Amino acid sequence: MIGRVLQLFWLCFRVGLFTFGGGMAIVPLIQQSLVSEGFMTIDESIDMIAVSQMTPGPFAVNAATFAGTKLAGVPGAVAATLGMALPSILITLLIARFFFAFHKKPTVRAALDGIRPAVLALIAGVVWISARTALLLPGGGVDIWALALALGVFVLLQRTKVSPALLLLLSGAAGAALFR
Amino acid sequence: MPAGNDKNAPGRSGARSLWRIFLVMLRIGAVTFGGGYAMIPQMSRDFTEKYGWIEARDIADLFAVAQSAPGVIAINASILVGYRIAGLPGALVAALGAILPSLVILSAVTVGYRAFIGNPYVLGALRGVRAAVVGMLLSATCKLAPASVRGALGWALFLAALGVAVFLPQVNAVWILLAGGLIGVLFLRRKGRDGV
Repeated sequence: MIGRVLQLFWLCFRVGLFTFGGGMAIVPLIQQSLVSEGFMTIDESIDMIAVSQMTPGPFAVNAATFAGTKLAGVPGAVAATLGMALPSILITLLIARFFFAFHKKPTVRAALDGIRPAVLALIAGVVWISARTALLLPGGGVDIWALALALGVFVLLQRTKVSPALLLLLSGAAGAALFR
Repeated sequence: MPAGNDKNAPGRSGARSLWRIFLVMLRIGAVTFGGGYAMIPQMSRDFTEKYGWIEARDIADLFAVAQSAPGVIAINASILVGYRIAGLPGALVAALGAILPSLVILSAVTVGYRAFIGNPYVLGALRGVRAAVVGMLLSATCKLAPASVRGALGWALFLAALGVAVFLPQVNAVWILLAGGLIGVLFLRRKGRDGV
């Protein structure tokens, strides 16, 4: 148990350290770490994304708490959340104290200009990985209803200002009616 | 940037002002849906318009820094705002306020998730939600694209990274990010603009 709690702390610490851009940027890192270390299936990691989006507060902290609670109860939740928050706290305090104008430095800007397309590609990669488990039937073939839901949500988010949390909630209701 | 030099800031050491910073962040963390990007406008409104603890011009700078630093944007922003108002103690209580609601709410929700996962209605609901997540992530990708990718080299970088992510999923995402950063430093320096 203690070993698992420490593992979770370290996993989330690494994820927090290498997340650039906030929000969905955290998804590829935490999904890959949790799945590759055998802590979660891809399906469960998609549930983590959904629950973190449907609840208030910072997405990354929500995801860390979900993973921590699921794998090691309250100690796991605290360890995962601390691990996720600590790089932010330390790095931002250093910036606030010593190099406040760091984001204007040409080298930092150039690095971010290279990192941002990579982050976007990783998120697009998560779309691919998630689609393969969420939109295909277990026996093979495309799950038409799931595909319709995914496309519906995509179009609504692109065209309207409806909240993603609300759409996920409605999709859950639709799923309970369609798939039970 | 020195902390707590605003004339109308509540001062860096008062326990009461620390408590107020904590409560403001606690409330924002508890009621704001949509993650860090949604929390920032709330923080801006509360800390500048409502309480006047930070100048609007200064808070824009703080948020620009929060978004370029690695880590969780909401925590970065809380740390910078808290530090600006009340130094290190302010930073720590602001971050704690931002984190605490998530920790409590998600712990409860996750216990519920584990308890109800066997129920057929819940399984059906999760199938619907998982499909919706695919649509949501695709939309996030499209919306982030214009701000994320600059020029032909940016797109080349995007496609190369996507190829690795899809065809070599075992490659640690951290290496892809570091490679992107290195390529950026070597090839994407903006010439003759706003050097500091």
